[in-house]
Amino acid sequence: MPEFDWRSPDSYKSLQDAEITDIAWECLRRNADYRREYEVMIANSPNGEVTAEFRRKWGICFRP
Amino acid sequence: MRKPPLDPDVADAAPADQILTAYDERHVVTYMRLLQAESEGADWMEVARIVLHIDPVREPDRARSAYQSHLARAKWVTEQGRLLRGTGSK
Repeated sequence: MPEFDWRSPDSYKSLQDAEITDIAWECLRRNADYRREYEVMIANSPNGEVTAEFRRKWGICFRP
Repeated sequence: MRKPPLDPDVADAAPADQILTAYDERHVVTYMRLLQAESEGADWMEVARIVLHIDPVREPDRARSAYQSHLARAKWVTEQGRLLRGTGSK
C-alpha cells in the first residue's frame, strides 16, 4: 500500500470521494485477521476459490 | 455516507453498538489508519499520538484504552460486510 501512509491523513484523501464498496475493501484488506485467514483459506481451498464459509464470515466480495 | 474527515479527534472509547453508527462513518479513515498501522507493526504509542491525538506519555491509560477500543471497533466494522450494510444513512 505505497500510496497510503497511516502517519499522513492526506494520503487517504482519494478515499473521501470513493464508493462505499471501495472504502469497505480498503478497510478489509488492512485487517490483519482477515489477511491471515485468507491465506489459510486459499491454501486449503481445493479449487483455489473463496469458500462459502469465508464469504459468509467476511461478507464482501474479494479482489486480488 | 458523507465525506469522512481525514483526521478527526476521537472519543475516549469507540462505540460498542451492534449496528454501524454515525461515529463509525465519521471515523472510517481513523479505522483504516489504525488497521494499517497495526498490520505494519507500528508502536501503539506512536499511533495513539498521531492518529488519535492523545499523548501516551501524559495520559497513558486514556491513550491505551482509546487505542484498544478503536482498533477493536475497526476490526468489527470490517467483518461480515458491516460497512457495506451501513446504517441506511447517506
